[in-house]
Amino acid sequence: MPHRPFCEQDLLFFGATTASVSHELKNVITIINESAGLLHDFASAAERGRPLDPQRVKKTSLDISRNVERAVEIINRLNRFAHSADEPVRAVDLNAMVRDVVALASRFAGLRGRQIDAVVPGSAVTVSAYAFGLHQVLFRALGLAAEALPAADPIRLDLEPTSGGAILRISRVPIDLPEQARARWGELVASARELGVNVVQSGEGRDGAIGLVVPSAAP
Amino acid sequence: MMDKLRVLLVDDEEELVFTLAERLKIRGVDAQAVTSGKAALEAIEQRSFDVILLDVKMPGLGGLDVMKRIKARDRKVQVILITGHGSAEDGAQGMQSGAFDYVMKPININDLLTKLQAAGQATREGR
Repeated sequence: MPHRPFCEQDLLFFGATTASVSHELKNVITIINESAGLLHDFASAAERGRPLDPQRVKKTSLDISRNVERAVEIINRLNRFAHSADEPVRAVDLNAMVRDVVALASRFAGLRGRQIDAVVPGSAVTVSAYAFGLHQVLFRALGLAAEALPAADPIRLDLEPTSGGAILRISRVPIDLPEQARARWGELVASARELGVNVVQSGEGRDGAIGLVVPSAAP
Repeated sequence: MMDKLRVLLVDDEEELVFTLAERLKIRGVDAQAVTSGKAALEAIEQRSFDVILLDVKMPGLGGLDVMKRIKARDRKVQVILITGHGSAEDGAQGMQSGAFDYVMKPININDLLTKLQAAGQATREGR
């Protein structure tokens, strides 16, 4: 798969991704802060003679643990994304990549009241690719789908292994793309082609699909 | 004896908004929590509040849109924005759009309480 120097679009994508992740992380830290504060409030109330409710204390401390786990997951996801630019070609676990990109895209989609449903196979699907480029192409494809689908329709993404690699298929995208999506189509095809990924449309009418055909190995 | 300060908290992070409401109740505030702009607009139809504490970034109807609609219904109620961004610019921008004040995440409860009390007083004096 061809590698190219970092360009402005890459930097914009990197910036948007890290901004989104930092926002998500701050929310989780804020919850941990409030839960810790609540425990402090319970203790202060107990010092003033108010009975302590052990169940409430346990629940609040479990909330803190759960949100710490959530924060770790977010940081791990950011770390994987940061390392995706390390090498021009390496083994990419597409299952993990789909989960990471969908988590990122879901934040943006969620702000518009939209959901992304992703289905990955039970066993790992790996290709040899430029990981950062693939992240970006999939993210762009999901953005295009968000423009093309009627408002509030969920976006459906399936990862399908093939003999030659894999297909990332976004369903229910009309064949006749609306105007705002058509501009994105050209950008998507161009950026995918640089990575050796084919972008295809299939189906008919409103029941179309966009497929990202990812080869198993870099050309 | 002064009535309790009536605050509506609006944030799509359910755990955050309900925990914060509980902490404010412990401090004598009549605090009600909702998790969307739509729910906030429904809540203000049911009862009046002294202050609305409103997250800027929410799915669907965002904080600034919600603030506009709340102010259209009740010009006198004061709004304090919650911003998650690192810089104070969002908060300053929100104040230019009509917010009374803002707080940044993670929230300092004592700082928040001071601002809520100031906003509540402004609402009551304005009515």
